[in-house]
Amino acid sequence: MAIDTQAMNDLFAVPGKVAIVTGAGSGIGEATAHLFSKAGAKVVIADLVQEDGQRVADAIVAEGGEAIAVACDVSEEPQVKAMVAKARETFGGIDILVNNAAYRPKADFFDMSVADWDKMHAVNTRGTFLCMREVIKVMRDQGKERGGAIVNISTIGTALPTIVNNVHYDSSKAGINSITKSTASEFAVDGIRINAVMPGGVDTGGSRKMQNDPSRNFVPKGPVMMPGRLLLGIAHPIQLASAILFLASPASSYMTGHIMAVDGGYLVG
Amino acid sequence: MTTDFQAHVAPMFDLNGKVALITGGAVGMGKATGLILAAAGARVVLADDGGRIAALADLPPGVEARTCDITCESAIRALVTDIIADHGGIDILVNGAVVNHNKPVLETSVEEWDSVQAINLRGAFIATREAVPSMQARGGGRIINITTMGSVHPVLHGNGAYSASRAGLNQFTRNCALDFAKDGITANAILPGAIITETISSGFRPTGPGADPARHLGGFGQVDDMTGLALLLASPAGRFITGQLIAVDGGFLIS
Repeated sequence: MAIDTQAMNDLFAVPGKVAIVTGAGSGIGEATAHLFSKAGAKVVIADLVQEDGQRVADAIVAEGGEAIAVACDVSEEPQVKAMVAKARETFGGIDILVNNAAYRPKADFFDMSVADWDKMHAVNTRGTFLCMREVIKVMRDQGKERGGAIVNISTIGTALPTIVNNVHYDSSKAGINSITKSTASEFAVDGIRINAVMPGGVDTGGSRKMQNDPSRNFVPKGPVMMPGRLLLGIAHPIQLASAILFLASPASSYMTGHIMAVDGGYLVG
Repeated sequence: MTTDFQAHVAPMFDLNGKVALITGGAVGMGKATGLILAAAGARVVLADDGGRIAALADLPPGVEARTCDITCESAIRALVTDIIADHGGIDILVNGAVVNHNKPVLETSVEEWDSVQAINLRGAFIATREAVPSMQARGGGRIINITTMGSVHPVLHGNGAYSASRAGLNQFTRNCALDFAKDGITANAILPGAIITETISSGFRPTGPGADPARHLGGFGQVDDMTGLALLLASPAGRFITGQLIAVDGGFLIS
């Protein structure tokens, strides 16, 4: 049977929508930005590393899409405000926000300094809050009819421990789960849907760097390292991007406040 | 529609060459799921009881209807055997058959309890047991169980037997995800919220948390509100999602 592309388009396309993806200079964020562009969105590539973001934006433009790169440390309030203003000014509004930027270095529990703890929570939790606060202002002002969709990136480590030296990371992401539900409840009235994705193991440059850079205190110890726990293995970033597009698209128009695992079965393994 | 969408996004949801069996497929969410899987290119068999099948009309190309008593082991086995004979196998099983007597626990007879479990849980077990060997032989497959948000949070009074059967199906889903991951088969449950279907009688006057419109942040849903998720779970795009209970509830569970 031939596929009815119009039916697929009605569900999963985001034509003309303006999407901010933080941490889009690599990994899951990069795959998401590319997929959003293929699905018709204008994409704002917000990344801490200017050259990474620019490389992704250039690639999207070279393929005929619309994208800009904005350097942004999401833990810094003025930078978030400037990034959101730039998105609005360039594309005339904001329809989708993906809070994907994350700080990841591990730390031994007893050696974990207050600075380690605070840095983690500043980027992951405060950064998500700041981006949401600034974007939801814009979405709310655009009116309920236009509404908006926000997808936060959490981790399966918030539901079940995965690896040692990760107390600060998992707690920061559990905070994101809570922010997701609280804001979903509060802003449903404005037509803004807010959901989260919990990735399991994903093969990204960041995860390879994590495992190969001794300064990041990665120790291969914990439930996720047990053979067979990742029932379907390790994901390619596109598999996360697919779920993120789903949660940003009309296909999920009746979903809000949901935390969806895309983990290849870790949580049942 | 952009050419980029056609070239790069639509193929992620392409079910061309796949065969899907939908129980409870003649009405409501089962039927809607069958139609979207067909739109994605699958060959779809809608299975339901005789009366409902007889009432079906104007099915699109690639969609067919077959009678099956979901409480009858031999009938389910025959249905699966026939589909495999006619179409070569089964790749996608949607367990959508459901009944809800909506009766207070104190007034529920053992026969009523058993009939709810027979359709809502035992039927899904039998259909899964019969269909999975074909998925294994074909190198993978998808099990999609339609349960309810009432399986994780009480919604209406008088739903004890129904919600218990659906909670059972949730955990059956998770165990299937574990058991069949090695075969490339995923298993997930969709937990619909207040989605209006034709099977809700017009005289039904529900009470309980779900009867308060304020609890449904996104209002009441339509059957098409859950078809996007069903397609995601059935398609190449959803192949890394397994063992999940996914609410399509307009925010009820956070209200």
